[in-house]
Amino acid sequence: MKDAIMTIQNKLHIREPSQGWPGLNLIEVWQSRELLYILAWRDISVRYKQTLLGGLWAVIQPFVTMIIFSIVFGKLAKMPSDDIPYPIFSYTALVPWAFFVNALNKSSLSLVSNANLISKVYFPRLVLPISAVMVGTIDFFVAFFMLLIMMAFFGIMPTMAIIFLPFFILLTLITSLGIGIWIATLNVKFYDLQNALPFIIQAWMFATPIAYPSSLLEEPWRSIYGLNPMSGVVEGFRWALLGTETSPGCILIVSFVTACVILIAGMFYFKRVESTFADFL
Amino acid sequence: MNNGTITLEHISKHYQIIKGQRYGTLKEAINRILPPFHYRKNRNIKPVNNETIWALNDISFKVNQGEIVGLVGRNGAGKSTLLKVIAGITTPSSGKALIKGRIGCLLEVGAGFHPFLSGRENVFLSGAILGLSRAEIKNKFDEIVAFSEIEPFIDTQIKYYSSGMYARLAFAVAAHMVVDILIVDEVLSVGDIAFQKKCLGKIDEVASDGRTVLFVSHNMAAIQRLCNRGLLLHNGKILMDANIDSIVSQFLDNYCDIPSKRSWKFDDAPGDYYVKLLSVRICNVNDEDIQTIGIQESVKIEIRYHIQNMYQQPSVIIHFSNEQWLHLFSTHDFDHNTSSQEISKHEICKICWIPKNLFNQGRIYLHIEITSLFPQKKHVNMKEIVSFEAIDQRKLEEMKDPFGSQWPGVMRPKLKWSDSA
Repeated sequence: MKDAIMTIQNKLHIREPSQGWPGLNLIEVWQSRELLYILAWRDISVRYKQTLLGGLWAVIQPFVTMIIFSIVFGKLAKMPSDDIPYPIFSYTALVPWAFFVNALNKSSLSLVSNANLISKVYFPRLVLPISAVMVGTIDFFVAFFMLLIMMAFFGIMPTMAIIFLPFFILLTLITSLGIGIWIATLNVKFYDLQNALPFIIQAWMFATPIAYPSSLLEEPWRSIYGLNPMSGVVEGFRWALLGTETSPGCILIVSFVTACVILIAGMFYFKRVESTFADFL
Repeated sequence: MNNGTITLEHISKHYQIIKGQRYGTLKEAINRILPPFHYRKNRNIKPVNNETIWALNDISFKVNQGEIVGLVGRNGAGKSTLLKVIAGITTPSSGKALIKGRIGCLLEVGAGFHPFLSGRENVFLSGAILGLSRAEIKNKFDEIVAFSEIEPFIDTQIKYYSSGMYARLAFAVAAHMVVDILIVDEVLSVGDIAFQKKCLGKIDEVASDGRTVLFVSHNMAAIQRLCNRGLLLHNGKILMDANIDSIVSQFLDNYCDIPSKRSWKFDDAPGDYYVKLLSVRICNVNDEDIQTIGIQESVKIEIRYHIQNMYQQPSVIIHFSNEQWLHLFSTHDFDHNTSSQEISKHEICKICWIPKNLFNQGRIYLHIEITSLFPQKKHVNMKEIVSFEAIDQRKLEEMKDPFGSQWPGVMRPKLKWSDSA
């Protein structure tokens, strides 16, 4: 421990113009994990201090969407739902989806709204979008708890596949972080993105099998569909929790690889333009 | 290489200013990515007029451990940019800087404070942002609260704090960073004078611990008291690297924002058809031009103006204000005017004497008006036309009074005291 402190203190800082693609320097981010937690904690506690319903919003958002979907798609459009009651079919997808949307909205603003900090204090900037995404984890678990209650209500027992659930949660995190970092970075230079984001999210939702099952598609289109990592997430959640017949298999691998590529590319791009943030904001 | 050394080698930083076009929109980026299309579509549009601004231009210097260096320069000289490069907030366009040791950077008081959180929560938040670990903050928490003097309100949301309380808490957190290099930018303009004094004392304490301090302030008195070495910056270049006293006097004499002496040729002199202001200068009793003047000396203000076609002599009015744009007092020469007499001279020189022991320390700005009364008309109205620095020039041994050199209040007149008979 003492050695660790000494190395930080004896650190030699070099300031020179950034050229080409710099390293990710994730060690620095790891060293700032306390800052990461405290920023996430700040956003969470500030939100609960301002709102009347507090943590309930975590449930209200996906739950109300689920009711609307059940009426419009389930009852009126008679959308197939892999032989699962439509409300739970859509809610299972809406839990990770709400996390994703939340992460996008929060991280898109994470750099812009902390412009004051960025131009006045040095810390690894990557901490900002990461903490913005992390803020949603509490909401996610609250909404997930609601999902368990609903499963009990509909009498659905999870299959053995549930052991893969942590993997799908990880995939949700990777996807949200990857897209979040891209949006946060681009939003610094192009404020237009702020206006486009609601449409992007809306279009993305219909491009993801939330209101409908991906079994509507035939292979190989289904696997190509996995290029949208959220479709892998949604299908994975349904398979792990509800035991939908179509095991996701190929779509999952495509989704996982895509998500990782998006995240790593996003972090490199972030690092490359990081040094210009203070000048732009 | 010792902890707390800073070495800068040919550091430059420039910004591109794109004239007449909005910057950073998607449209602009697309235009940049697709130039052929852009030019085909807008054949008549001239190429964008880019202008490069050199915020820093080939800066090299070395700061050794334990030095307290004051950066002096006008607004826009590059002081803040230089600090930001050293702190790592922005990268230089060329050159290299090597900084050894942990850096504490105080460019803004209250960085990261959130109004909805309590004082206690904000101490942890702000500490984490400044790079303190949770354990470090816990250890120093009581010390921080004691320094900030807001103990009873530590669990109140800081949106209910006064600006002074806010600044005190913020500075207290920053002052307790354990660092090898402390970078301070104009943060002492907050809080009341007693607290400013406390902050200066704290910085002094940090420096006497053998830690390196880089200090930017427009308060020349503070800079002179605190630092032992100075760097004079002008237009992104280092003009001078010397001991702080010669830097401060060089700056005040030649590079200060508003000089202590101004004169105009008749053709471009400010004023109207009737009155033209020719020169204003500030001098001491020996008629020498000065930039700084001791509080214990009287100040002479000499105003020359030219009049023509006037049947009355106009009044000269001087308004005095301080650095905070606080209007201190005004004076005019109306009582002195010999208005009934015929005006034979065209060039008039008025002298105003300011008694000694009147101003408090700091920069004093003069606003000059020349007005005729019947009918009322302002001929000359020049705001912040000249300025000078009032400094307490007593030696330390002489400052035995309760205030020392830092007197509270905007003025410090010497008043008469006596015992009741």
